[in-house]
Amino acid sequence: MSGSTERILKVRDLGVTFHTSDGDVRAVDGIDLNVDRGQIVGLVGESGSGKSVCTRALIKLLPSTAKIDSGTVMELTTGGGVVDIAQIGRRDRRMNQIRGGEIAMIFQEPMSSLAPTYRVGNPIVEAARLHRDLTKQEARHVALDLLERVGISEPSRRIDQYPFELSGGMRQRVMIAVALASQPRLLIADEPTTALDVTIQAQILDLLRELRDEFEMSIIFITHDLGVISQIADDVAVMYLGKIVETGTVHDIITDPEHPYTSKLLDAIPRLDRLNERLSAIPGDIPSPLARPPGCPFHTRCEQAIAGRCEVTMPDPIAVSASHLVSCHLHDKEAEAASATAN
Amino acid sequence: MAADTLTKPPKATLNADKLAEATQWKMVWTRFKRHRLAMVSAGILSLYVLIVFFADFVAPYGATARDTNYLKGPPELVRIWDGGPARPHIDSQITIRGGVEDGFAYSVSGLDANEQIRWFVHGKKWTFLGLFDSDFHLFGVGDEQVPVERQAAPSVSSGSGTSSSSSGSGDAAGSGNSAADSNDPFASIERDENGRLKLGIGGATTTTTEAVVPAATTPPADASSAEPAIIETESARGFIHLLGTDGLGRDQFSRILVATRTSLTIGLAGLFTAFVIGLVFGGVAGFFGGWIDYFIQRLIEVVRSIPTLPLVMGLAAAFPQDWSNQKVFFFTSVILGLVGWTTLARRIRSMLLTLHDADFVVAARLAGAGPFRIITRHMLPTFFSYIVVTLAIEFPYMILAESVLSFVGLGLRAPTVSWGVLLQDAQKVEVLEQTPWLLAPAAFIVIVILAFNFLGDGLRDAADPYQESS
Amino acid sequence: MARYTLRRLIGGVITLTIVSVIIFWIIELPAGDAADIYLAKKFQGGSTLTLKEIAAVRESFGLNNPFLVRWWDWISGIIFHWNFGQSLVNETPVNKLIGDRMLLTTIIIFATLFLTYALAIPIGVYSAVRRYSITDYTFTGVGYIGLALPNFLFALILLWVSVRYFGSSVGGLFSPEYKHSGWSFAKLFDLLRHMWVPVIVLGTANLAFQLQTVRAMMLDEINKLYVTAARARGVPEVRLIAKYPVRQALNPIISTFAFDINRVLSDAPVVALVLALPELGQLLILSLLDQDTQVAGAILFIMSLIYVLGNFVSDIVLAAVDPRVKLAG
Repeated sequence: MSGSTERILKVRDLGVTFHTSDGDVRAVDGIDLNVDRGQIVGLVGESGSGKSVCTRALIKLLPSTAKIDSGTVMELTTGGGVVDIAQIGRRDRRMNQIRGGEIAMIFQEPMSSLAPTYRVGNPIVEAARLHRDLTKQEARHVALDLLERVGISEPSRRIDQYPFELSGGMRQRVMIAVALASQPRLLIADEPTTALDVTIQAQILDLLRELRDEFEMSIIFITHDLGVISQIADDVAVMYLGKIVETGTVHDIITDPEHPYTSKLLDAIPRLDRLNERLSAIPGDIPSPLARPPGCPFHTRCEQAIAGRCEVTMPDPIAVSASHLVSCHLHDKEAEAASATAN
Repeated sequence: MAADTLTKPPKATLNADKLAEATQWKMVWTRFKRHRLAMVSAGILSLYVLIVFFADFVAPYGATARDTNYLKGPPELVRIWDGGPARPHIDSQITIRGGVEDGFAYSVSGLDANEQIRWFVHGKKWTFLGLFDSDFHLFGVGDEQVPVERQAAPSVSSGSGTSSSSSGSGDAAGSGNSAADSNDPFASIERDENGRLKLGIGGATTTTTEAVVPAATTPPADASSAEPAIIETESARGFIHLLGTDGLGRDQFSRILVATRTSLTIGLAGLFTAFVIGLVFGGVAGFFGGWIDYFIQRLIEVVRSIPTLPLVMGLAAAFPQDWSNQKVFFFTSVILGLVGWTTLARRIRSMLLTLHDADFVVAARLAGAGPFRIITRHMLPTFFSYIVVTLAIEFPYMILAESVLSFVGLGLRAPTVSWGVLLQDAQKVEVLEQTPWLLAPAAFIVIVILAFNFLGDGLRDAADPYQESS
Repeated sequence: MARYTLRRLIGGVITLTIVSVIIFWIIELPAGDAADIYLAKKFQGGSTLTLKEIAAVRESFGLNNPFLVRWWDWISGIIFHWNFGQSLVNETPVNKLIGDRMLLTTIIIFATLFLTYALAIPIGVYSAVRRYSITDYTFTGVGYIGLALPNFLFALILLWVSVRYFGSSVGGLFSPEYKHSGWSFAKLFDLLRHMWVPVIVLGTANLAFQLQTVRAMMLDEINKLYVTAARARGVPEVRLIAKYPVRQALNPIISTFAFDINRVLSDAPVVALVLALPELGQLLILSLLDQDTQVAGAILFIMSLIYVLGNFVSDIVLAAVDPRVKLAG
């Protein structure tokens, strides 16, 4: 997928630190990420790996205790210019134009994403009118069209219902309609299917793929589920404790994982062809972000950790193929070889 | 500061580790300790508790003892500097005599004695919970306050003469001591228990502390008629009035301490009554549910439909005038409970309903735990901490209700001393203007309520970590 | 909506009926009844009565009827004629004693609640949005003191300050020249000039309470996902706060409207006593001190009536603004 297409988001060395009463927590520790037009990028990791924080930082939705303390978020704007979102203030008017207008977001719990006392149509009309020059009537038409587009039957009745009258799957569809209403070019989907039934989950994934094709919209899809990723993503980035440890195409990651953590994640997926084996869990717990291990963050749970090395230095990303990057000392030899040939 | 920030992160992780393996009570305590205001409040409240037990010891004088040379006297400042560091003392005592006619034509006379504060002096005899007697008081001024007795015998007759002019107290004994004791329910209860023995001693020694007013210094007639107590103190050996005196020359500080004991006790009794009723109704409603629950819910709604304090007042107004102080005390707390149980019942009910379906209770049930084990091991610990929090939050309302009741004259009556009774004296603008220090009990009320509010907040946050702490 | 309203209405009537029974029981609670007091006056007047005559008097007062009959006599007078009977102490109708006190009480309640909400909502919202700011700490601190300072003490302190430093008392609701005059604009204006003191005294505790409620609700709501979701679609901050969390935080205020009425009604009597306000609460205490439970009972009933009405209104308004309420019943 990568190559000649237009790059709309380029994140470099993004770092986010939470200042808490128990100490500082660097939740996102210098990550790089690229998103091309029409591309679906999967961001995978356990809870606490910083994947949500990272994407919320992109549109400055972080709580006031969190600070972006390094890096750039270069976004190719609708007008064609490039803007560094990291430099725009949280309350800046420009930021409100980007939120929704250029980058929209949907969330994990559709149950609580909608304000309980407003009718379903309200947030869609609101989003449409905030970012497009529409009258109330026009916006209502847009809302009806969108509700129909995201697969809600009887939109003209549903539009005046209250959220509590809708099921979880329908609410997530409404949230997608809200996101589409402002015609963004990038949609951040923060575990949008985690809280839903498996069948509904598949429907939503299908819908997102269709919408990507129809509107040429890019999607950053966050999940802890590599199975979901394999169904929807083009490129994948695997996060662990605030760092991206491996990136590649979905094919690279699923068939040829290079980082021990990625392999472990894949082993933890139940598979029909291996029904008789025990699922292997990753040993140990994810370390407290307050006491980050030095060196490679995964060394405390890694069975192949190299003593005297992994707990000392953080490995740099190494290209194992043109599209596939991994940060692991196990690949140091290839790196040396690569740098030798380069020289 | 630098050291503090450096040590902080490890401390936090250490705490987290400790919390993970601590018992529930240790956990609550650890979290409670972090709540600084609540800790300070707990400290202040323990001072109040000490006062409840040792009011007689800390108070330099009895609640009805009168210093006729210092009527309506302002608070006396304790000085520790007298051109140089000095032992704590009060400045030479100013004698203020209330004029008979207008009540505030002062005659001021300075005594030269620079009165030093002395610790553990002898004074009025007191009894600790009916267990032992003592005449030691925490502090006093002047010479050793050995209970020197003068004119005890002759004064009795003149004293009863004064008291008979006031309509009340046909106190046949006429002894200053028994009148003083009937001030507070503790003393009277204690007297009931070993009254005979005490009277014997009283005749010999106790009356000695308080001599009776010679006619010349008798306060204005109206003032004395308000108070049947005729205890009178003679001031040659000096007095200290940290918070001034009232129109009868009674020491505010001593009176407030005794009042603190009364008010807190009655508040506690009211709270206990409310708790018992609330536990029964709330427990039944939450446990049985169905129509019983519906009925109790309606009952609660009905009780809440009558504004609280007016309801309390309406019930208290039915007290016959001839009831003894103990009886009034007892029934006041009953009324407080009768009106105040609804909040507790509601909370207990909803707590039971939540607990019944709580995941950990369901899990225990599925794991095969019997009802006894579920109740004692799983429900009670959660329930108990919740009850403690609720009680801490409710207590101030009880204190407040008693104060209001006594303040308007429908609750406890003089000579019983409670915060409300004390403030009753300050109800009139003229009194306030002359003796603003009579508002001092207000500070005690405000502080105790504040402390309970903070304590309640701290306990709630400590007992329920999942609740938003603000 | 109609069914919901009807259900609430019936509930209110039932509550009020039981309340009236309790209040009537309180009226009859003290040792002496109306006949005793009447007879005592006769005796004082020097007349002698036979036992038969005494019994006749008791009969004429209806005191030999069963409790529920006596209650019905009392409550039907109120329902059908708004007649609260005779005072026990002075031979005046209770209605006359109450006079326009009911109006004054109602005015004080609503002025107090208006002040409370007008201040509590903006300040509470601001405190929550600017959490841990100096303003937040200041108002939280003031709120705690407001909660801890009992109304009547606050009134006493104001009274003392006004006398001590301004040489005039802040008591009363009218200047002397309007005390007994009929209603006029001048009298109304005079009332407004005097009313701020009781309104502030009564409003403070309520304000402190509502401040805490609004702030806590706001803190709760402000972190909810639907607020983040709205922010993520680019709703400007001020509009966002007003449209989403504030709108939600108003619901508990509406639902506790009746409790606020109850609190003010509960606190008002002793404040009225201290400040010498000629309203219902003051008369309540004075008549209770006189053991005139006929007057006191009437006032208790009126207070409960105001509360139940307020409760009904708040239920209806809440159902109108929050669609979920009707379902819950």
